[in-house]
Amino acid sequence: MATIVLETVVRNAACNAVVDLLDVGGAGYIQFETSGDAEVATNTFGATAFGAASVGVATANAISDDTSATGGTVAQASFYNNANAKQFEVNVTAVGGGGSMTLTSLVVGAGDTVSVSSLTVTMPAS
Amino acid sequence: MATTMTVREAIMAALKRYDGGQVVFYSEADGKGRVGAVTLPSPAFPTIVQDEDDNDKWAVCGDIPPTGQCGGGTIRSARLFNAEMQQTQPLGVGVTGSGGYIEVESLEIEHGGPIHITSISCDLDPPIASVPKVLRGIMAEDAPEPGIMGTAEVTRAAGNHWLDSDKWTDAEKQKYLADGERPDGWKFYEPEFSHESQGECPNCGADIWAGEYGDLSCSMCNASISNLG
Repeated sequence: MATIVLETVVRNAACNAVVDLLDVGGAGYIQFETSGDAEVATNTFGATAFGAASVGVATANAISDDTSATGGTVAQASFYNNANAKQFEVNVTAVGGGGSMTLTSLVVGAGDTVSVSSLTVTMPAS
Repeated sequence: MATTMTVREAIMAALKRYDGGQVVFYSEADGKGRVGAVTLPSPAFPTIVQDEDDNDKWAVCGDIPPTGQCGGGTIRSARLFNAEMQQTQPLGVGVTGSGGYIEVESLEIEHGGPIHITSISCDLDPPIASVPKVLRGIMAEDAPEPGIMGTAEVTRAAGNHWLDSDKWTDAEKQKYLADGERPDGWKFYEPEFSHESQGECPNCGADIWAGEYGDLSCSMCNASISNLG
């Protein structure tokens, strides 16, 4: 089986290239959505969504809370830039469900506050 | 310069990452059909014991107080999740005294009932030939994978506490038991309960019971199950 091992400088470059897409046109945002793509809650990044990658891992800068969510049952999270162009999408599960993102309750009520407490993007060495 | 670690040190470092993690139990040997989950203490493996016969050392997580609200079923495997939600491959589970990686008081878990972990152990001095097997169980999926990993929290707005049944007041629980009415007044099912599973949750695989039918979400992972009806 063929293998490839990325040096740290390459991992960082690849990781930064991905997360910097969210900064195009201004502050990007995360949209928590139902399985039918309906918006449940929206959390906005800062002007620079992520800090510079280190050892292939980029960590998000502070993300604004959605203090009055639309509400619904979350199944996925989509990441948009400021031009409303979706860059990537991840699955969301309850804590322990093994999703890319976990939420303390997938059922979000209208008016609830949704806070993103941690977020990383990883580019492994191989 | 790379640091050389002994096998024991490597395994202990891996185990430390499960401090405050979770053990998720499944009804299938291949890690499908979620039965329930138990949160690991921190540290997760606080005790090292030594085998009197061969002097092997074992890291042990002892008795964990049982937690309830499980989907129920027969336990056949489990995965350990660390705080970053990285998971092991499915591990064997046995009853207390069986000598398995993970031992529980009973493999038969009632719907809504507790899972009582009596012991989780890992050999810190495995023969070299068996290291891959040990690593398969405890460390194999710890390597970072490409992707996004995040956590988010929901804080309920005033009046939305009915979305979390564990937040209901005693009066609300009594009313619910009496006439199947949620605190917001929405009657969503009759209180009579069927012990036959109505299918699996499309998200986590937990059994869906008649009592949950037509509800907003799976009692295990909160995924919407309204479409199953």
